[in-house]
Amino acid sequence: MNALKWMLPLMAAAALSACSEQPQVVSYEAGHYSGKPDSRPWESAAYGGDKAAWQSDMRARARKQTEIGRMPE
Amino acid sequence: MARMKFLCDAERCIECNGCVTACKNEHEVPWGIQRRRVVTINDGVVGKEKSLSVACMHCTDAPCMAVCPVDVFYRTEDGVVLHDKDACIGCGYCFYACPFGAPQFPQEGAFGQRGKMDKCTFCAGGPEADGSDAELEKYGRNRLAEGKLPLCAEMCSTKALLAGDAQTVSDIFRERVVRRGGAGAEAIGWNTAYGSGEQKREQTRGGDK
Repeated sequence: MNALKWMLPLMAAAALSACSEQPQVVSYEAGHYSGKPDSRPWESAAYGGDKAAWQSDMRARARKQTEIGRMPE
Repeated sequence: MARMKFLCDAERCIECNGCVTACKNEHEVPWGIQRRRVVTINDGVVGKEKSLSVACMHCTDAPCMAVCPVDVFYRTEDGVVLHDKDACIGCGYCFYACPFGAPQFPQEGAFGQRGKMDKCTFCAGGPEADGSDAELEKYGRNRLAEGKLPLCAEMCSTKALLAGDAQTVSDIFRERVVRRGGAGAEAIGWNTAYGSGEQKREQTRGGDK
C-alpha cells in the first residue's frame, strides 16, 4: 500500500511527460536577407529614378539581339 | 519588366568561348574563377556535337537562396539573384545546391581555403554604390545600371546566347524556331538538349560497350 502511494504519482508524471514533449523536427522558415541594401538599376546616375526610361531602353537593347527584321528579305 | 533571363540556343553556339572571355575581362574576374563556361556534349562526334554557354541562371526559386545559412542572397525587382559578399562565410552550401555549378570560390591563403563565393551577377553589380570601385572590385561592372545587357550575350557572335527580359528573349527565340522549321519537340531543340531516347552511351564514348 505504501509502495502504491509512491508509484501512483510517479506513473502519473511519466504519463504526462509526453504532453510537454518538444517537436524534434526543425521547422524551416524562409530566411530574410541579412546583407546590405542595394539600389535599383534605374536609380543610377544615368537614369535618375526614371524606371520607364530604363525599361524602354532595356527592351530596345534586348530586341537588337535578333537579326530577324534587321535586314530586308 | 518581368524577369531577366539567359537563354542559350544550342543550334547556334559554336564553342568560341567569346562569352567566357568577355565576362572575364569586363568584371576583372580573378584567376581560377569561371563565372561562365561553355559545356560541349558529344565533343568530336561529327554532326552530334552541341555546345551550351552556362552560368548562373538566376532561378525564380533559387536553391542557393534556400540553403544559405547566413541569408546573403537576394533577388532584385527585375529577377536577378545577387548576394552580399561582406556577409558570405564561404561555406559552399550554395555550390552543392546549384544544379548549374554556378557558385565559384577563390582559393585564398597558403593552404587554399575557400574564399567568399563569386558568381555571375547578370552584370548587375551588387550591394555597393552603382559604378563605385568597391562594386567593381567585389562584384564586377554594373551594366544594367547603364542601360546595357550582360556583355556575354551582347558579345556573342552568333547570337546563340540571349539575355534580357524573359518575354523579349522568348519572343526572339520563338521567331527563330518558326523560321527554323521542324515539328513537335524538335522545333524547340528538346531532343538536342535532352536526347531523344535513342542516344546511347557508346556513341559518346567512341564505341565503348
